[in-house]
Amino acid sequence: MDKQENAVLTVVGINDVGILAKTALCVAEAKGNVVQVSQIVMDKFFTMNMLIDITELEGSLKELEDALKESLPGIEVHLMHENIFNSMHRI
Amino acid sequence: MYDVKDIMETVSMIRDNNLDIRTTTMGISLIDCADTDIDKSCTKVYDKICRLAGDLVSVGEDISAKYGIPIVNKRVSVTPVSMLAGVSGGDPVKYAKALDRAANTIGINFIGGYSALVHKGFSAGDMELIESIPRALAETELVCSSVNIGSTRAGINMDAVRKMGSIIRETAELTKENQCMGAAKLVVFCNAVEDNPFMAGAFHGTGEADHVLSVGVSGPGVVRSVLAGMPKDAPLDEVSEVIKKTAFKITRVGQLVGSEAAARLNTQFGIVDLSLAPTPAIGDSVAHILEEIGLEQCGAHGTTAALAMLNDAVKKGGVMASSSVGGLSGAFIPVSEDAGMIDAAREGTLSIEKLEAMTAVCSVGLDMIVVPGDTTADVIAAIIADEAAIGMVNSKTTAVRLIPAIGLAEGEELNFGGLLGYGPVMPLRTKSPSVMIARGGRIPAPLQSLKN
Repeated sequence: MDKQENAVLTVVGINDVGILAKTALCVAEAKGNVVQVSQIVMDKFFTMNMLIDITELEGSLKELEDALKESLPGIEVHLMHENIFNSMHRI
Repeated sequence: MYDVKDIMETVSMIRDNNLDIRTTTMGISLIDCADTDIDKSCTKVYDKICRLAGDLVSVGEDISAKYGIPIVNKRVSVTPVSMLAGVSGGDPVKYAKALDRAANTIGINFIGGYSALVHKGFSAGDMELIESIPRALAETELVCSSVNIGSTRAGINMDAVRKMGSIIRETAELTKENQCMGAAKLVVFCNAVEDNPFMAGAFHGTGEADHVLSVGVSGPGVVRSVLAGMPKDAPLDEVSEVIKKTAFKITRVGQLVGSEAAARLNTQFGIVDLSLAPTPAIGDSVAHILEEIGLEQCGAHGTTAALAMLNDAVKKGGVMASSSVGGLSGAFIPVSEDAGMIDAAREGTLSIEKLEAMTAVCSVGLDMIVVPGDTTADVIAAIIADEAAIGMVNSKTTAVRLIPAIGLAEGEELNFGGLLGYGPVMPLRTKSPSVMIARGGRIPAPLQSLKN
């Protein structure tokens, strides 16, 4: 089996019903596996970081990011391969 | 799981502070394309570039999407074309056109290497190439040219310096209908490096492998933003420490992108050039970093010291982050490409004399400076000689990229568009250096001891 590959998803925006549900649905549809989630709601702002196992992902990260942006209009979505965080923040 | 603070820092560097990979540049040797028939030689050049760098753009876009970081430019640098021209003879502009066609076919932004290395003298093909530069740059769109006229070990070839004064003028004149754009694609070097991925001075040195992939990182906006978060009374050693840490993070991204791009393109990874390269975009300026350190405006007294510290801290942070650092590595100060420098030049705070002093402590040299249209070839040559002397004596790379604004006078502006930016015509001394320039010959290599 290939080594597990992860991506980090960041979702920031005004809190609303169903953000987490919609995100999880998009990720599941692309065959991504949610490994870990952390979310903070402060006042009306919603910030979520999600670690996703993309070893079995169907389509590219860009396609998943586009799908998430479409399903979460007005909310900032960033999906990046975990290696960039490994590189920048770990020696 | 990653620390939320780290995640948000990376996201904000890219989203808010213009962190990007400035360029992925594939260096390609053209030595095996040399042929005594210039047309055959041009065909081989075109084929080799398209074969090796055909996927450069698509791989760049893939990696950019994977890591969520923009890769702004995809470029190719080649063996100095004067070597091919020396073998084949004929009109070197044919090579420029072949390079331009290849660059258009594979969809890159610039191709560099229409170059000659003449720091000690001219060999076959060198003079022909230099004389063809104005036409080559006027008749092509994406080709960049550079000439090395001096080095610490060889001294300065003053015949070449004099020649380049008139070539720069002629290049601007031939492209005067197009903002004198030709001169923005021509660099004159002292101590040129063989693995620089940045344009317009990139060429693929003869000591390099057949093909390599190098990366130029950027990020003045990130450094400025980190400094903005520090108290105004923090001592300069702390400021330097913060710059170092930031440079480390930026360079790690360059190393990641470069090694992955090289693997996907079946080539070897060359170097990360850890330069702070500004763009005209607001928030992406080296001048604004200097102002954040504590100067009212870039060009004020204190600028040289602040820049020296910045340049050194960037290198210290970057060297630890990558196993292979090279190229120019330092802070760039191209006037027309930096919003803060443009403002300082417009207001007269930043003068060419101050810029010259700054080039003694940072990467490269007098870069992207618009000078009056009536500047004589001798004055341009004298500026090149001054700048080359700084590079030669200090064992560092210096360069001159001046744009004589044909038909314009002091106070007017040229606008190149895009990353090359825009800038006001800056005043020069007008007393004549002609007798010295007309002497020609060579300035001998400087003594390497008794350093005072």
